[in-house]
Amino acid sequence: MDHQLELLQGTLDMLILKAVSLGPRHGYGILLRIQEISKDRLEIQQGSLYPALYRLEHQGWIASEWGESENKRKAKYYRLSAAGKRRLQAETEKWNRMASVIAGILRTTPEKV
Amino acid sequence: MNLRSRLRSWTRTVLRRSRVESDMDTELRSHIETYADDLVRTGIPREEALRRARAEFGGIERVKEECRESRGVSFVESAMQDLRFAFRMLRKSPGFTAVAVLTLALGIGANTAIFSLINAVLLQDLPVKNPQQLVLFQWDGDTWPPMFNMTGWWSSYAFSYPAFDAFRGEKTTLSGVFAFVPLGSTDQNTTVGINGEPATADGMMVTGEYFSTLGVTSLLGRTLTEADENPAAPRAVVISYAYWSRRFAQDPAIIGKPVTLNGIPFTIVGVAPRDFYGASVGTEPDLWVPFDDKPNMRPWSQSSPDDNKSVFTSRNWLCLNIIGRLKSGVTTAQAQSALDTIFRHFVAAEWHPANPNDAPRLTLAPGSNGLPVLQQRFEQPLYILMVAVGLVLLIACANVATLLLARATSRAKEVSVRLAVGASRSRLIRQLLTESVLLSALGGLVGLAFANWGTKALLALLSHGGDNNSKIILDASVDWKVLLFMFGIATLTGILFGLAPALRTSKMDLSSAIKDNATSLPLGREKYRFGQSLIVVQVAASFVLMIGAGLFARTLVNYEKSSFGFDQRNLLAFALDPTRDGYNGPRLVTFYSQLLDRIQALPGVTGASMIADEPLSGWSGYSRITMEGSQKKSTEETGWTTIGPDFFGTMRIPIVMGRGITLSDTADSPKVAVVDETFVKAYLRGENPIGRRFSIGSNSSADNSYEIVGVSRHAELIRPNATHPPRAYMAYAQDPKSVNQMFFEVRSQGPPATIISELRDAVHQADASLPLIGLKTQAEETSEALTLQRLFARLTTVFGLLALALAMIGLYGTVAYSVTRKTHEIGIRMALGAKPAAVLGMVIRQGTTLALIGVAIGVLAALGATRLIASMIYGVTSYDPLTFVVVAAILSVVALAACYIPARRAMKVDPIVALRYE
Repeated sequence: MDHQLELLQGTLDMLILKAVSLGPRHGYGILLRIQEISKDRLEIQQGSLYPALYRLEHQGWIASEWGESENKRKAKYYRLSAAGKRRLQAETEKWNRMASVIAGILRTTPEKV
Repeated sequence: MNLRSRLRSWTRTVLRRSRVESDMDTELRSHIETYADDLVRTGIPREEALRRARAEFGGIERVKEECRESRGVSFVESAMQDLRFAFRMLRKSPGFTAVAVLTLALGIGANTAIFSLINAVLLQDLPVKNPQQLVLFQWDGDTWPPMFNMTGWWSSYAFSYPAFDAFRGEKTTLSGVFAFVPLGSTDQNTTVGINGEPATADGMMVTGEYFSTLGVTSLLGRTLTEADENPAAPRAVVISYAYWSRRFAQDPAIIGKPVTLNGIPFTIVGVAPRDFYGASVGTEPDLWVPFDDKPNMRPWSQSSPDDNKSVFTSRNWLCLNIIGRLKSGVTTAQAQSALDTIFRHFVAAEWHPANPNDAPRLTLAPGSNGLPVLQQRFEQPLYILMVAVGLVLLIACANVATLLLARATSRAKEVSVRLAVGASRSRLIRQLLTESVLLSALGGLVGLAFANWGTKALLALLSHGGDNNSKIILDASVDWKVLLFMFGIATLTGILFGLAPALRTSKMDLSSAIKDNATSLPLGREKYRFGQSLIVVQVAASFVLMIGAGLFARTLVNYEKSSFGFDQRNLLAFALDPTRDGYNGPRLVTFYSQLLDRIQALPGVTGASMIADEPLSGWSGYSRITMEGSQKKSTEETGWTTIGPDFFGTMRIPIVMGRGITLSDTADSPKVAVVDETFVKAYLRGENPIGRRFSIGSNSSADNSYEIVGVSRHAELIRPNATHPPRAYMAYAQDPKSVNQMFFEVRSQGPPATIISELRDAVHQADASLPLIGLKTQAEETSEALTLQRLFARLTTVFGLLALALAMIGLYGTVAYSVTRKTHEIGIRMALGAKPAAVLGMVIRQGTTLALIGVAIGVLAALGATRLIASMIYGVTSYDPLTFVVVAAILSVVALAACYIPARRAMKVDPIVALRYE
């Protein structure tokens, strides 16, 4: 599938948490990681990433510290907090349940009703 | 959600704002550059890579703003912005700011001052350990048990020593319980001999558990313990910090010092801590002694009304107060039920009422404030003052709201520009409210200075307002409760007076506002109506306050004019208590009668007598009486007191029938009484009172039967009061065993000061060790007795005038504003031929109509409100027509003047100038 999907509303936070759970990353790195995992099938507005990061940090799900990037640039690294870990688990479960319910509904054929 | 991390990010934003901003900048820039690096790696020139990276990132400032918002900091940020802006706006119009801040400062300051007093009198906990565990013993019953005899304050809190002894055994719910009673009714009830020099002090008698139950330890030495109650133990006294400082200059070697109290040798064993003032707010005993009953040291300096019994054995002499401490974990209800059982048992030993419900019940009141002597006296007056200052604050708020409305006009353009560029209405209201709360906070700060000064002045005025001329000692320093109150009302008033103008200002019509037309004001008729209703409220509230001021002023004048039925000129008053030196019974009667002879013989003295109850102290015996040969049952209690010979002559109270008490009324002659006209009206209307007999209470033994020998004019000797209870006077010499301290009244020919030294010598010659207690002129005594009335008259007058001034400034402002608003209309009217006088009339009519509506509402409100103070006024009714008419007239005249000034300006409007504005 060539064409990029637009992100469903409210899912960016979950994707960021997941990306960060794989190891500390800076903002740009998080973006790259999501694109990499999704095999470039998701389109994320670069500018929309940062408000989401700040929101997650404000809520205490991720924590940040300054470090140096691979290009020798000063960069802020984000990592998952304990609360964020629990949150990611809860979100993942919720998403999976929701997805299977919706998939179930969409699979329904006329005979089954 | 994690509260801690949110708080952290808030504080970081507020406190380290620039750091957070630069971090955000670095982070976003680093993103763009890293992305550009990646693009360069794919072969795109650096320049082009950066450009593309920036473009894909989007507007960096917009992203930053979104980041700020997602940190949840925009609220804090914008509040700070609003505050900075509000400061700038207030600085820009210093005149408006000064008037508004001053108005609010007066309102908030007055409220804070009165609240400081309420805090000191009603809300203060005793300075002891865990005061909320203390409970005050109280009894309650539909009928007064016939054998109960009472001395002291507040009958429902009084118990006998044997009753206390019974409660003392209750150890399951109480961790401690103690009783206490003053050594006499004044604050000079004890004669202290220090190195042989007699002086007076305020003494309190306490049981051994007093200090341990309160949880008070001594500053020096030790406190009293149960061992000190043993009559065989050496007599020990604990003195207060204030007394230690005053009399002993804080002598560190005070412990072990011998003193005599009423002639009995005592040893000072301890000094109480500095902040400890005993178990009753407003009083401060100088010394505490163990419970005792000797002729010269007993509760209230009175002997037990039960013959041959001491306070320890007299089961029905209610003279002491009891406070207990609950064990931890025990509820008041549990303790109450255990103690009530004991109390019922105690009473049932002597009395079985026909109706079991008549038996008294024991209840426990919260004891954290101690014995509420001062509270009961001042609760109502303080709440009335609080209502009065509340009205002043209301007027101040209305006034500032009026100012804000007028200002809104001049800010119309600013507001409309803000609305036009997209400010939301709620954001605008928030900003306007920030301004008004800032105003009131400034007002509160200035008001705190006013309040500080006002509280001090009030305390100075109040210090003589105690019963029995005892000094009231209060700590009314600003504490957290006062500060909280001040900030609370400041914020509340800020919102109160700011909200309506803010709502209205922000609801303006944009198109008409933007038009650059200074004279056509964009705020419509509706807003003007609102200003008008504010004026009506102010006038009505100030009318109510002025009626209060008028009634209290008339009360004071009536009191001062009435002279209470006796001639106060050239009269000296003082007290003697020879029982402290061991005099009693017939020996004391002889002492008094010889001393009176001696005083009467002094040159310049035209009369001298004495009375057992201190004049104007409120302290007297009250009982129901039984009239012999009359079926008439009195429901009212009759006051009775004993007096010396020639009392009526000395006081110049006219005898209207029969005779007064004379030298011939002795212990050997039949018991006689003089009653006043009120007594005759109550019991013997239309009959000849001379020769009739009555007895006090229901005991009609021959010993308690008095023959009426004379009728006196009514005199309010005991308490200035609107209700006049009947009064009977008996001869002190006919009841030698209950004679104790006496209050002397000596009339001099010239100014009383001229006989003072001779008087002192005469007393000194009679007994050198007797101090004269409270020597003053009767005029001074009377003036002190009227402290509360004077305080009320002054305060309400100040508040009333303040209210009037504020309301009139408001009226003036509103009328002036309406003239400005109507300049154009007036110009047209005049151009069409209206006479200046007609214009003047129109403007004045408009303003005075508002004032009259306010007065009308004020009359109704005042008729309701003055009923609350009916018990505090004297010689006037709460609907006193004169006061109402005068106040209405004053208000109308001042209102007329307030309208006249802007109306004259309207009259001088030049139609050409007014019309040219179009």
